Order: sequence, then C-alpha cells, then structure tokens
Amino acid sequence: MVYGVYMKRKQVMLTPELNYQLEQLAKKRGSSASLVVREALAVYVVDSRNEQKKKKKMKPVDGMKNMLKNSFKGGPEDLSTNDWYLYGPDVK
Amino acid sequence: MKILVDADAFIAMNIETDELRKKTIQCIDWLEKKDPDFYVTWDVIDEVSTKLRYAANKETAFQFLDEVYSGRYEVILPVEDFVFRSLKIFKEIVPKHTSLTYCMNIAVYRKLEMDVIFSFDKGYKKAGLTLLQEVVLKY
Repeated sequence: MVYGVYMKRKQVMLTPELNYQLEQLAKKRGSSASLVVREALAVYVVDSRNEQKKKKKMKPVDGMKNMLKNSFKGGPEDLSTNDWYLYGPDVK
Repeated sequence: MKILVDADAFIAMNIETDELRKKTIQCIDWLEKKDPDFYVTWDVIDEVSTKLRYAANKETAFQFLDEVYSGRYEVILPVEDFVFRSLKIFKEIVPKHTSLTYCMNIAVYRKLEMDVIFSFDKGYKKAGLTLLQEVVLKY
C-alpha cells in the first residue's frame, strides 16, 4: 500500500483458479494481491493503448485490403445485392 | 474525404465470389491514393455481420467486426436524432423494398455531410447521394 496516494476501491470477481494463481504470485513476491492486480492492470492498459496506436497507424484502406485477402471463398454471388438473405423471399 | 461505407461494399470485400467484387476492388485501389475517413452506421454493422454469419461463417463475420472496431472507422450509433431523420425518410420513400438501414444511411450522409457513399445501390443516387464508383470512374 502506498500511503498518501489516493486510491479508488474496485470490486472484482475472480474465478477460483485465477484467485489461487493471484494469491500464489503475491505470496512468491512477498506483496499483496492488490499490488499484483494494480501492476498487471497498468501493463495491460499500456499494452492496449500501444496496440490501438499501432492499428491506427495502418491506413484505413489497408484494413479493407486485409479483408479482401482473407475473404471467404465461396458463398452466394448475390449476397451483397439480395436482401432475401435477411428478410426471406418476397411475400406478395 | 468523408466516406460512408455501405453493406454491399463490405460484403463484396469479405466474399470472394461476390458479384460486386471487381467494382469494389477498383474503388479500394483508387482510395489508396487518397486519405479517406471512413464512417459506418451501426445498422450496416448489424446487417453485414448477420449476412456474413448466415451465408459464409462466423470467422468471416468476426473479421468484419474486428475491422470496423479497429479504430479505422467512425461508428455512427443510432442516436435519437438520426433515428427520427431515418424514420421520416422511411415514410417518404415510395418503393416497397426499402430498409431502415438504407434510410439511416441517407440520414447520416446528409447530416454529417459525407462526400460519397461506398455503395453500388443506385437508389442512393436517386436520393441525391454521390456513389464512390461515380467519382472513381471520372478519373
């Protein structure tokens, strides 16, 4: 616990397995479970931010080209133009 | 350049045998030289992911969802203002085969002053929108 630093309390639900691993890790490090969670979250937040930045660096068109490259082989030829696939056959 | 991307273009990007595939590739090649800002309505995301999951597979649908939420698109949620605008258009439009998704796209295009719509649906042209393909063919 870092005294004098404002902290916000969050309640987190953990699976028994994850809770066990967290307790073990805290014990091994000689610290608290809270500290381990804070450290892990801090790393996760930075990683996520970096990942987002990396994605944004890609040109928008590159994402479209990725979809072209990994597109589904086969499927109906008129999927883009026929709403039958969404709404069913035309009922008179 | 503000581009609203419609469902038909997204499907042609994700289905190799789709009949709009060649035209879609032509548009993407043209866009490569530009610096476009892409916009997509939630209604289009709903339609495309549903169609892809049904007619292709869930992996293709997930690929599409990952792309639109990659940060490279501005996702337009159906907030009240857009909903009322799209309902007004829905009531005004005559043809039977008119979806709310189509009306939402027209409403968003007009309100956010898009430059073009990446779609091959000629109905948009009749509604006064500019199709990306028209611009591409001029060059």
